[in-house]
Amino acid sequence: MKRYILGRILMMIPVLLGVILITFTMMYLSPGEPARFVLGDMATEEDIAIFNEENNLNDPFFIQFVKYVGKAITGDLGISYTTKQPVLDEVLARFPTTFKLTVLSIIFSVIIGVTVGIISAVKQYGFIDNIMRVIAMLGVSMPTFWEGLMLIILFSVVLGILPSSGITSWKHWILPAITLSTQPLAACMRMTRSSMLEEIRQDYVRTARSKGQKEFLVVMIHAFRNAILPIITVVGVNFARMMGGAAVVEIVFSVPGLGKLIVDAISVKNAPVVQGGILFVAFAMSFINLFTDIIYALVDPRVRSQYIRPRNKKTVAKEV
Amino acid sequence: MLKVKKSKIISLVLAVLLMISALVGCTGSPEKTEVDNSGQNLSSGAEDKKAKDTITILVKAEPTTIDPAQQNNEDIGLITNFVYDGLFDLNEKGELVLGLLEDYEIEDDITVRFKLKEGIKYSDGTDLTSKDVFFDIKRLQESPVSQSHYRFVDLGNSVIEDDHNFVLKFHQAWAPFQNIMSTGRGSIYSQAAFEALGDERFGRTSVGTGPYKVVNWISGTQIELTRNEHYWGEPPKTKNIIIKFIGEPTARVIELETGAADISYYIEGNDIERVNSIDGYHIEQGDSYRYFTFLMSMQEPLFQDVRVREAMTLAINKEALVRAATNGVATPINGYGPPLVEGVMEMPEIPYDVEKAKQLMAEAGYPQGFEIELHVVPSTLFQRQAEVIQSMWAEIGIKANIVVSPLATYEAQNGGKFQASIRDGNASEISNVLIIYESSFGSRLQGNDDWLDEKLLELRTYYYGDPQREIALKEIYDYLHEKRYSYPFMMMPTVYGVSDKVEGFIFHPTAMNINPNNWVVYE
Repeated sequence: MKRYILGRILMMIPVLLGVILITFTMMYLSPGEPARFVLGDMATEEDIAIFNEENNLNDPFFIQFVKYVGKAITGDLGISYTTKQPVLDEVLARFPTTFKLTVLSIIFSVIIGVTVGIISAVKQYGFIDNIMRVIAMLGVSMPTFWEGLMLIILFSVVLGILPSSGITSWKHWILPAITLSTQPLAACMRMTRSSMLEEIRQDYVRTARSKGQKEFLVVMIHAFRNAILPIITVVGVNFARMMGGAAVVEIVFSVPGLGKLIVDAISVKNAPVVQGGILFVAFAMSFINLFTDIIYALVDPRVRSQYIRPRNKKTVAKEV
Repeated sequence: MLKVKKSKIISLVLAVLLMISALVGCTGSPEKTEVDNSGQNLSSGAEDKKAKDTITILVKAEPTTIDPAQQNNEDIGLITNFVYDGLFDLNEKGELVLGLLEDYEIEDDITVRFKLKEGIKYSDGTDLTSKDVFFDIKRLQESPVSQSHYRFVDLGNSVIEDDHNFVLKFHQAWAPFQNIMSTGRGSIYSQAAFEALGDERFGRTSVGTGPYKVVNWISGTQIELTRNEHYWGEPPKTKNIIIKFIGEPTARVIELETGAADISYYIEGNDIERVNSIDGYHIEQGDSYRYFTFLMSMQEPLFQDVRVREAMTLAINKEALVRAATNGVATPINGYGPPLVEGVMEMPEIPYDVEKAKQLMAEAGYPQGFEIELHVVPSTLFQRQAEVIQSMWAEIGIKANIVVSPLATYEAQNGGKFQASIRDGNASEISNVLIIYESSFGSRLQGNDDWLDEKLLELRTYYYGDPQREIALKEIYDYLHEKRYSYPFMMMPTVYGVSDKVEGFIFHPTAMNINPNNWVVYE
């Protein structure tokens, strides 16, 4: 298992290099001089020349790229063109907010999604099942920004019980977390339902029932435990996706997260911040995927056994 | 079977009801319920005149820094206005007044003597001195963002006489100097504090002479200010100010609706009615320095014939354009800049005459018109203007393809060239309004008119009050009117959303110079 984890961590290196290359290239090729964005249209040609020189923008592409990678390895993600602050500091200041928002959203979506999915499966074609399937479809289809604005109008303006923007108190997290969790919740619910339906029809479940086991135990201990693997996959994928996709929610609710930082940086071609932010997100997503795989191994002994080093033949022979 | 069918019908009905209830929020006026920042309901009803100790203001963007030397947009100026002062200031009537100066005297064309007010301290308790002014000007001259604004100062030949008296020498007569020194860039700060904090940290805090000082900056969320106990003037009536950054205009209005803010800068035109309808809030609106103009590149071959340029302006119905693009919020203008700026002259109105326009196009050799690109920056307002102009030009055969992109992107894609563009300007001094016609200021009009270049430079050398100034301005305006390189068409008002519980709010054409000292907000 340790070897597997180490191997996966090493595999992250080419992934991150690929992310840097793609992001760097896209920022390099996108039209517009950063100097014009940063200095404004009152800037003279001389001002622009000074800016380009200070930020090594006159170097050829590969030299700029190699310099950037060399610094990134040491943790130096460059200096923001606009704030003149180290990019790493800016990213680290914003990342916890996005991470917290994502974690809250995933917890909410898992608790509600799994619960509802189980109920839907157990009461297939029942009243609750039908309602939840419609809600799940709406959840998957609803644009995030629209949902956010509707929740603001309902809870902040009409009911006046929750604030509409910022993150200065615990109440500020509720609406953004609900908004961000809607699509993963729907996906989780549908996967749970589908996975549970498959399991509760299995023979071992019928056997458990016929042995007189309580229905709750049959569903939660026997069926759910075997249905959980695809759910973990969906949750893991959504968690990783939400890390990068929280920008819309952050903009609607004025949450100062990493997504908003990246979007704002793109609009002024603040390349160091864009590259640093995306690199950080890629790093986080890679770890989340690794974490998902580890959970897999913990939950399913069949998966775990693939990572256990086989015992040597002498020991096996002696035992035999 | 019947049971299944029945439950499905009920499910469908409930789903529809759910959708309807979700859409309820889209219509009708919201019933206002007052909440504070933590989301708890406040008691309502009592006419209690107890003043709050904090005013909450909404702005549209977080400043990248509050280092005056790095100021290149108004997001920075909004904050520096609270924590710094300049040698000069602009009052609410747009008049230049003394700020940190006791007095000044223009001794000759290139020599100005300044006297600082005595006893002024920074927020850290240290004294303001002439050395700080020199240090700040030197930094401005070294900053890529600001150096073009302060090149006129010849620091090498300028003299510090004592802590409160100094003489600045200019490379040449420079009439706009007072106005330049009244902007955020002209803010005066402590040299010692800057050297102690360093470049990076200085941009995130303040050691100035302004009525407030920065106590906390929550990145991405808000800046918190508190009263500067060393302030040289009348202490501000409210102890604390919170400035929250909310990018979305709708979200700013929602903050007002929930009562979570007291003042909002930057209310959009189409939100004015909505803010006025919020119980407990009103709009403060007035003339601003922001004006809109469409520009024709002075280097574009199609526009070299003045008859073409004339035709393009005659084909525009200005009143209809302003009404359609802004729902009547903006004001049509007839000068080459915002009317509020001293020196902007009212010019003869360019009539709306499609037939005359067609005739001129034919005379210029374009009876069938031609095709051009009309560039605008990404903004609903600009796009609406472009669409209206596009339809008006179509009547004289000009097919305008609207291109929406950030300016820097557009210039990069087109090698720095453009054909026609709609831009806005925001300057409080006439030379800065007319700078767009200069060749060295390439991005606006791609100027190539030597006469204009010389005349605009000459204008800067005539100080206010000099009769030559009026003569030069008249010549420039007559020339611009004849040449028609541009067509300024409207002035967009400055609009604030203000709580009825705020007293002492005095409208200012620019939020970067607004005076917060008398603001009081009651519970």
